[in-house]
Formats: sequence, C-alpha cells, structure tokens
Amino acid sequence: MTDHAFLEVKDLRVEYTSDKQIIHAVNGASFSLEKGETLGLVGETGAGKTTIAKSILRVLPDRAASIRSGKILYNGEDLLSASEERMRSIRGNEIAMIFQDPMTALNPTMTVGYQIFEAIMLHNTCEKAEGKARAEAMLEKVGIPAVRYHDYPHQFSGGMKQRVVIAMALACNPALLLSDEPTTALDVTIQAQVLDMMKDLKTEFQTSMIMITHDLGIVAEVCDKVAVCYAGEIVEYGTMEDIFDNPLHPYTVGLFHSLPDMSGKRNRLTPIKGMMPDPVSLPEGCFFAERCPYATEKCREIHPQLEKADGEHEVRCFGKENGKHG
Amino acid sequence: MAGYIVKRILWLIPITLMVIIFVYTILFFAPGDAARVALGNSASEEAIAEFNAKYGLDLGYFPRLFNYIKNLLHGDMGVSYYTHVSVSKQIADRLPYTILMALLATAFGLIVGLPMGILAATHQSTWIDSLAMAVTMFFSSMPSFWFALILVMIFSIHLKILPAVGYESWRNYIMPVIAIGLQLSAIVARQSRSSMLEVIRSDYVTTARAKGQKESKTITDHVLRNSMIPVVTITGTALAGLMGGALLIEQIFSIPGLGTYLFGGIASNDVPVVLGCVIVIAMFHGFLMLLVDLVYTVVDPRLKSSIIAARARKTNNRGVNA
Repeated sequence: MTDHAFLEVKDLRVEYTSDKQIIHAVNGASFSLEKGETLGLVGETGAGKTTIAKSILRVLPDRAASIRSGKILYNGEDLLSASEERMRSIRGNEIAMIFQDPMTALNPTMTVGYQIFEAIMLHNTCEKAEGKARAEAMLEKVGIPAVRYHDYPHQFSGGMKQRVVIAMALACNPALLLSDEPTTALDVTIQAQVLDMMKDLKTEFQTSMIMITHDLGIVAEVCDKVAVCYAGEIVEYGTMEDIFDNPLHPYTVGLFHSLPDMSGKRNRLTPIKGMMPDPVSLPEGCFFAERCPYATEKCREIHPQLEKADGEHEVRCFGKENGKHG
Repeated sequence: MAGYIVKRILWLIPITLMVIIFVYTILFFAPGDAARVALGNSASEEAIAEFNAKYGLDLGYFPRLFNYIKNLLHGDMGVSYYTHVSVSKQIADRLPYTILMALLATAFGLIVGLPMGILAATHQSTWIDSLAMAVTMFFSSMPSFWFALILVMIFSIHLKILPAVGYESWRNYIMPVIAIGLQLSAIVARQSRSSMLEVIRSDYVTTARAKGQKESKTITDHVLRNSMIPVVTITGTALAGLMGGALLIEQIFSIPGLGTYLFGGIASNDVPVVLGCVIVIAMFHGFLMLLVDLVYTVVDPRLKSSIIAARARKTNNRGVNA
C-alpha cells in the first residue's frame, strides 16, 4: 500500500471575480477519498460543491475563477501544479465528470455517438473503426440501442441524454468519476433508473466516485463517505453511518429535519431558517452561526476548525465539546 | 426537405409580383415626364405624343401594368426609353460584374472577418481583443467609398501598381472588392466574436474540455459551428444587398454593374429599366434567403428536424380535416 490517499483535497480556496466583487466560493475545503469509495458531497445550492469538482479537473472558467490556494493530490500528484498537457491526459481518461444538466451538457450539433467516440479517440491509440465500435458498445451499456449512434441530442429525452453523458464519462474507464447532481434535472422515475445504472456501472468498472448532491436519499443509496459542504467549506465529514446515525453539526441535523419523515411522526417539515451567508462578505466566526440555534458569542467571533469527533468522523463546530445537538 | 425547397421557390412568384406592382405604382405616380427627359425640352407636342404612343405611355394605370406583366411572362422586359436597348440584354451583360464583385467581397469579408472574430473571442479582454475591436469599429464606421478613394490614392496614384478604373482584368477588382469587403469583414468579426463568447460559456464546451480535448480543437469542433448561425444570417443578408449592385463603388471604378444601371433608370424615369432591375434583385434576394435557411439546417441539425416535423404535422392535419 502507498502512504498517500487516492485523492486528497487540502485547504482548497477558489474565488470568482465579477464586477470587481470577489466571491469566496470555496473556503478551505479539505477531504480525502480512498480507491473504490464513493464520497457524497452534500450541501445546498451555492455551497461550492460544483466548484470543488471543477477545480479537481481544472475546468473552471479561466477569466472569472481563480484557485487561490490549496492542493489536490491525485495518487500523490498535485493536480493544481500539473502542466496543462498532463491535465489533458487526465481529463476524461483518469478522472471524468458527469454534469448536472444533460440538456446543455451535450453539443447540439454533433451526433451523440461522435461525442462518445471523441472521448475514446482522445485517450486511446486505436483505429477509427474500433473507436466507433467501442462508442457503440458504451451506448448499449447505458441502455441505448447502438443504431442511435448517428442521432443528435435533441432527438433524445432528458433521461436518455443523461445516459449518453454517463456513457461519455465512462468511455475511457476512469479511475475517478465526478458526478455533479447527475439526477437533479430528471423526473423522479427516471432518477431511480439512472442511479441504479450508475451504481451497476461503478461496480463493474470499479470506479471511485464523488457524488455531488443535495439529496440525502441518494447519499444513503450510493455513498460510503459523506462530506457536508456549507458556504464553501466542509462542516462535517464521516462514514455514511456516522452522518446518518450520529450527525454532529447543527447544519447536518437541520438537513435531516428538512426531509419528509415517512414514518409519519412529524407532520411538518422543519426548514433551516435564514440563508447561507453572502459569499462576497463572509462572517468572521462560524459561517453557520447566524442560522444556528445553539450559537454562542464564541461562535460569532472565532471560526471553528474541522476537528476529529470519533474515528473518521470530523466536525467543524464548537458545540461538539458541549455534547450532541439536535 | 425537397418539398420545402420547392414550396419556398414557388413563393417567389407572388413575392416578385407584389414587388413589381409596388415599384410600378411608385413610378407611375412619380413626377417627371419620360418623353420630356428623352426628347429634350424643345421637343414638339407631336413628337412627345408619338413617343408616348410608341411606348404605351398614353395608356392608364391598369393597361400599362397589364401589358408589362403580359410581356414579362413572354420573357420580354421591354426596352429602355432612351437607349432603346433591351433591358434583359443590358441586365444579362451587367449581372456577371455585379455577381463577381458581390461574391468576392463576401468571400473577402469572411476570410478577413472570421479569423479576427475568433482571435478576439479566444483572447477576450486582452490587447488582441481590444485591437481587433478597435479595427473593426473603424472599418464598420467608415463608408466603403471612402476606402475606395483612399485605396485609389495609395495604389493607383502613388504606387501606380493597380488600375484605377476599368473592368477587363482581375487586377481591376482588387480595390473594389477590398473597399466593399472591409465593412463586411468588420460586421462578421463583431458578430462571430459575440456569438462565440456566448457559446464558449456553455456547458457542452466545458464537457469537451472535461473530456481532455485540446483548447484549439474545442474551439474549432465545438464552439465554431454552434456560433455560426448569426454569422450565416448577416453574410447572407450582406450578399443579397450586394446583388443590387454597389452604386458608388461601380461609379468610382467605372465597373458596368447593376447599381449604375438601376440608378440611371431611376434618375430618368425609365420604367422598364427600374422594373427589370428590381425583379432581378428581388429574385436574387429570395434565392439567397432560401440558401441561408438551407445553410442553417446544415449548421444546426435541430432546425432541419423542426422543418421536417412542421411539414409532417401539416400533412397529418390535412389528413384529419379531409
């Protein structure tokens, strides 16, 4: 065994600049992932989840976004200081990404088959005929008949498009798959189908995965580890059981309370009051203090660090010293 | 698709007819007496009456229109009141020069404008972008005849390497084509830059990068094609506009194109000449717009599907109604 993790994100900071305002999208996010594992990156819209994933592949918009600091170690190699050429050989080949919206993630003027073919030919030295055969095989694998190779994206439904996107991402058998809310844009019935398919393919290809989602149901279904993301930092990290059975951070607890309870004990949902802090001017203390029912003077003044609770379970909260919330 | 094309071509008939009636009506009520212009102020009343009778000018609004359309259907566009030369022959003689200039100028506009737009878009907010935009601002705000005169000054008068007037050799066309094409190149550059910037931000371009595609191939394979629709539109419109002839440029370089012919016709109330030119221009316009629409379907497969779907829907509805 090697002494470094398969993927390790250390103190990642990403900023967007717009109209001379600096938006602090990711503020020192750190987490790690072992080979074969699935990590759920959970959090509400705007928590910086997608930015973290795009930083790993370094496909953030050049002009607007800048990675301020941090390390992204992939098998010990820092991707943030890798050459552009090296990154190109990693993208789509070793690390692939599934984007949130299948409606816009496919090029409307290229056949779906060609878009998979393109990914294959970029990373393999094979004959065109073989590349095409492999692209057709990938289509079949995600449940689309190979005869539809020459169809364009607009001739497919949303769920089918997402299957194409998944086929494209898995075409080169990547070691790590970044799935950015792969089912959010789909109907509920299609969501389950796509999710099942992803689980099967992940097992078949032995892919490690980062599953970005705001849906705790999906986390429960596919993830081994969970990182809860809030205002661009990880507020709680642990195994799926840690997070589901013993949530420590008030935000995580709040997330569970805002889910419908099927046992029927609660009639009303309990939303988390308030809004995430404005990423242009983040508070000095804990980012969650404004919304936290347990916040103290200390929480408003000092920014808490991510600290070990028990085993692999880590939490960014002073409250853990006072015992469990919630 | 073939049905769509045939339908669009058949539509040209009523459109051209409308154009004829519209232009004829304006000319009919316009002040000015063709006979007076043709024969001069000292002409006798008898001579004028004879002239009017010869060309049917003594008839009323409807008989004249009717006669014109009847002759047109026989392929006869009439003769000029002044030169007595057949209008269709004149147009046939002049059209090649106009078409040649229009095509070359459009090609020039694309060859110069597209790379400028691509460079500006891929180097957004750098000095390359600023320079390209400053240059295109200059090109698009200066009239083409000004460029024509400057070019003549430099290349014909000072350097003496290009002929200032004439239409016999290919060297005669260099300056007129550049003078017209510069403006078009500026419009093409600005349009392609802005539509590329829009496409560069789209998700599927990030997808292409996330696949490991090279930046240059991402631009050529994924961005360019998706940003060409507006460029096709303005290029088609510009080409159609140039088919009417470029009057000032033809004047400056003494090129016998459609522009000078039409202008002469308008200035002297020469109805057959004006109508003949207008018909040809309208037809070209119609065909070019059809061509633009067909190019759309090649560029963007979604448009082709929507045309086919719309036709299928119509046929189905007809079936239901019947």
